[in-house]
Amino acid sequence: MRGYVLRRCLLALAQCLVVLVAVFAVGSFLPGDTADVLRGELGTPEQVEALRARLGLDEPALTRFGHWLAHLLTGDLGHSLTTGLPVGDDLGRRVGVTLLLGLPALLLVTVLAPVVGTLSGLREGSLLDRALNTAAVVLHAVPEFVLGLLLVASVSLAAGLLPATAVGMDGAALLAQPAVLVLPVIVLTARHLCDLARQIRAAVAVQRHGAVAGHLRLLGMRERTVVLRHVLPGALGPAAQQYARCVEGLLGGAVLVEAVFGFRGLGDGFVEAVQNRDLPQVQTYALLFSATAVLVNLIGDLVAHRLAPRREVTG
Amino acid sequence: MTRPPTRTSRDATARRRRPWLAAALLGVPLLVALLGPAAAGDDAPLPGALPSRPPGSGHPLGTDVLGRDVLTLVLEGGASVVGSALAALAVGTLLGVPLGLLAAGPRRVLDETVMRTLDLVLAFPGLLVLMTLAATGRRDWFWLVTVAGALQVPAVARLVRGAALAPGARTVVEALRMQGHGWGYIHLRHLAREVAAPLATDAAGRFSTVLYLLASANFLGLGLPASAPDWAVLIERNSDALFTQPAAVLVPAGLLTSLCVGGNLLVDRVLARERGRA
Repeated sequence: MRGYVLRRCLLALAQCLVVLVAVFAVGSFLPGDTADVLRGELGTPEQVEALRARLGLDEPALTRFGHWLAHLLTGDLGHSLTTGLPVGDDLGRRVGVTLLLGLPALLLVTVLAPVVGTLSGLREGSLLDRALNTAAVVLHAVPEFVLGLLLVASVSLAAGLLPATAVGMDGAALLAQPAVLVLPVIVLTARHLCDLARQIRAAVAVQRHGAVAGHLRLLGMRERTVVLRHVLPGALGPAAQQYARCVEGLLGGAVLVEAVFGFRGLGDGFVEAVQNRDLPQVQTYALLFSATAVLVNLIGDLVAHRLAPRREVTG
Repeated sequence: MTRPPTRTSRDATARRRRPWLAAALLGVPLLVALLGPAAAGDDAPLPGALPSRPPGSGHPLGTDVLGRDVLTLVLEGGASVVGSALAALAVGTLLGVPLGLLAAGPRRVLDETVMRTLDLVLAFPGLLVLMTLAATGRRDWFWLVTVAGALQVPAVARLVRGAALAPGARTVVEALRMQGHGWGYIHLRHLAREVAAPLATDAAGRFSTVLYLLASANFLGLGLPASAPDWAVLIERNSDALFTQPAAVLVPAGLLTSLCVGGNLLVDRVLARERGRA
């Protein structure tokens, strides 16, 4: 147990280091570094060199990496190339919108997946079970942006039921008009809910017929206790890893969903920064997203290991 | 991701009854992609054609935001979607298979080095990497396909390593080595054959992963140029005119969805059959 935890933490640490180096490299090594971008096609090579010197881009890489890390640690994320404002300000404004989308979706997945998964696992072959299976296969394949657009076309435009976009709304406006959130949250939830519920269903179906459950029934334990106390916890172990991927997926999905519905959240900020080639902003978003991915996966693997220590849970 | 280990018999019969559904879902977009470019005419905006017109005379599916014929664009756009996904898949396989075989070799150090390095790469969400690269100006077809392919390498290498390390494979390899067969014979002829079946099943599933990734990047406007005839680009460009000219969005979206769903259903069937046999 301790060996695995140590190894897994070391891997996460190494992943963080790789993320830091990679994100740093994007801003300073690759052709098209910050100086090139700032100058655009207008600058002469001499001007670009001068700017590079002013930004400190001509210093040795290791020194610059040190400076960059030191700035990061003090919370200085640099300034946007397009607006000149500190990157942190922009991030702070957008976090709320993304959380308004992500948290309800996460809550729905967390509550519904074990319920649906257990119910359909206990009734293999039932209508619910088959519906879940089909939905999981289909939703796994449909890109989030297509699902979003199809919902907008059918529910909002054809039936005129829910608002189609949230263009120009900030966090407070969204809270005042939560109907806007319904479709995006459905899109974010659907795929992950099906994936997770399907995995829990499979594990419940196996464990229910297992030797442990059979033995407990022979001892006269009530079926409800067998399922809730023994079958379900065993099924949730492997699901913890899938859950971690789902949290990570909600972030990635947020990029697409925000683009479809016109939310001004973190995903939209990332796309905008990429389109403006605003490297300090891109670096910050990349750091934020990948650090979250590393952290969430670490937690998922550790929890899975704790719940089902015999399973091989690397990767 | 682990697959559910059991499947009910009712499930299996339902699956056996509808092989044509998956085949049709996959077949229609594939046919459009293969034959479309030959059947399509010129995609330049016609003189006098208005943008975002609903289906009407001369334009069976209407026009897009640039005043181009949607039917022509749809017929042309599939080749780019299917072609890039296949190319990315090829990149992933060409890099992943040798790495997997290398890791499965007798050298323990090499195994650890290769697999741990790939574990590091596994941490990055694919779309994020594509977006970050797009920020440095790398946003043409070549980069998009190479990076989407490279992102598949850890999973492919892991699969190949697992297949080549299977107990049965090891015993045969030892026997072949004792018979005096060389490295090339063992790795390129025997192991390649051993690994081919799981690799093929995985590639079919991976196809939709890659398709999904590339389509998402193109939808965000971070891949192909905005005028490219590609289903995902088409959807993105016309989504603002969804209300006035839904055909320009819904037709390419339908084809893309049908391609993904059909592929997934087919892989699911193959996996279920394999499990049934095992």
